[in-house]
Amino acid sequence: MDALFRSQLVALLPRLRRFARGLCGTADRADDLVQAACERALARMEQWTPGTRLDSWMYRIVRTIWIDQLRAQGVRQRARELQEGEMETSFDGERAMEAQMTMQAVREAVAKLAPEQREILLLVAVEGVSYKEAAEILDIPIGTVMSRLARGRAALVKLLEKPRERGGGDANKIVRLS
Amino acid sequence: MKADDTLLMAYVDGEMDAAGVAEIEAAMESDLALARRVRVLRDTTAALRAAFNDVAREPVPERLLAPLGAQAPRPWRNGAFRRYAAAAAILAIAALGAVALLPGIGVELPYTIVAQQQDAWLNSVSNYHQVYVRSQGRDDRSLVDIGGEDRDYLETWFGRRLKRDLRLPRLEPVGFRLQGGRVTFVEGQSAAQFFYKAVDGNDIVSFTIAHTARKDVEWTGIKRGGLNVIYWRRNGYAYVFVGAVGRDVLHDAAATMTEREEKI
Repeated sequence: MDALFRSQLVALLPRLRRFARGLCGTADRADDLVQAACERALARMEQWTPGTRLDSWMYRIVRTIWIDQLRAQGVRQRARELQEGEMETSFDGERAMEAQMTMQAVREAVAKLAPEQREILLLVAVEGVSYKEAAEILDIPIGTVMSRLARGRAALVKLLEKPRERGGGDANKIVRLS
Repeated sequence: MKADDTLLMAYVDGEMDAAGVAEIEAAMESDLALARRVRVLRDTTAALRAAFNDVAREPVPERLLAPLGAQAPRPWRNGAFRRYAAAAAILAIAALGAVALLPGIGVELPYTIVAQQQDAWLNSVSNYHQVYVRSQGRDDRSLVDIGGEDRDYLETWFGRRLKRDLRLPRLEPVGFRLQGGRVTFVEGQSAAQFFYKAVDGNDIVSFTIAHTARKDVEWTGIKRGGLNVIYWRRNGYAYVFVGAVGRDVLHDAAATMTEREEKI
């Protein structure tokens, strides 16, 4: 059991690191988080039921520790909820031509999202977990999963739009849309 | 965000049943605004995935492996993948910007929404996948034309039938091993379906490649019965990954193919 558990955990590390990177922003803090999660998982190995999904169990542990860390730091990020319809009306054509975006811009935008929007977007869009699994990992109803996801996506689009409002950015890699 | 965007989001996330999918796809044919909103949602998801996916390709640091009694594995991604990942990310983000900006200014989309009743071929690909899965254990080879032992031969043989350079995805890093391939037909032309079996289990992932006269389409995730399906069309070819596995697993499998395609 121990050896099997460890080997399954090792196989999950790339995905856990990806999830943690999205939550924390930097590689060091993300790996600290994954390390803490693995330690907790090893200590509580007997709480995991073989045959159930280890990845969901691990996402949950990573996320729980992350939330604890946020609370400890006293970080309170305001939810940036968009008004209905704002997504459609806040863009114009001129800026489309000037749009400059990078992967970094997306990562920065994700880092600015409210924690509850960040975690759900990362789980569903990046990690590819189902709504049902996300609901279990986050311990919230599926309806809440869907509404948070919708708000998170709208907020992300809004955030990605912002650099263009300032007339571009300091991006190294530039994409010019035509 | 409009109320019904939650439904569109469920569609994009592959959370809808077949009836719901058919309803939305039918609606998209006549409602361009709806199709645009779907596109924005899809592009947001693609941009997110592109922005973080390379983290999962990085070598895992020793400090995480050591407590679990593991050693750093051989890296299986090369530099080319990184460059591809960066390019893919930029394209995804560019698409997000371009499309997100369109609705506000009333510009018609530079593409048309293709009717999706041709979805029948996805059904047959999925159905054959099910047949193959159900036959497992009796004779793993009975349903493939060529076994997976000799990859070079397999690639040459099917490449000739598809009239293209064919490099099959290597799914070992995702935990699947090539079992073999069979000839099939899509849109009246030769196509090939390849089966991969989980190294430590009975899960099967299949990969189908076919000629198509239809327009390019980005990664699309749907469900067919109990199966997850990811497909896309590019430069005259359609690519489909099918499996009763998590979408994350299927994503990782499909990513290995887009990497290979980039090199061809």
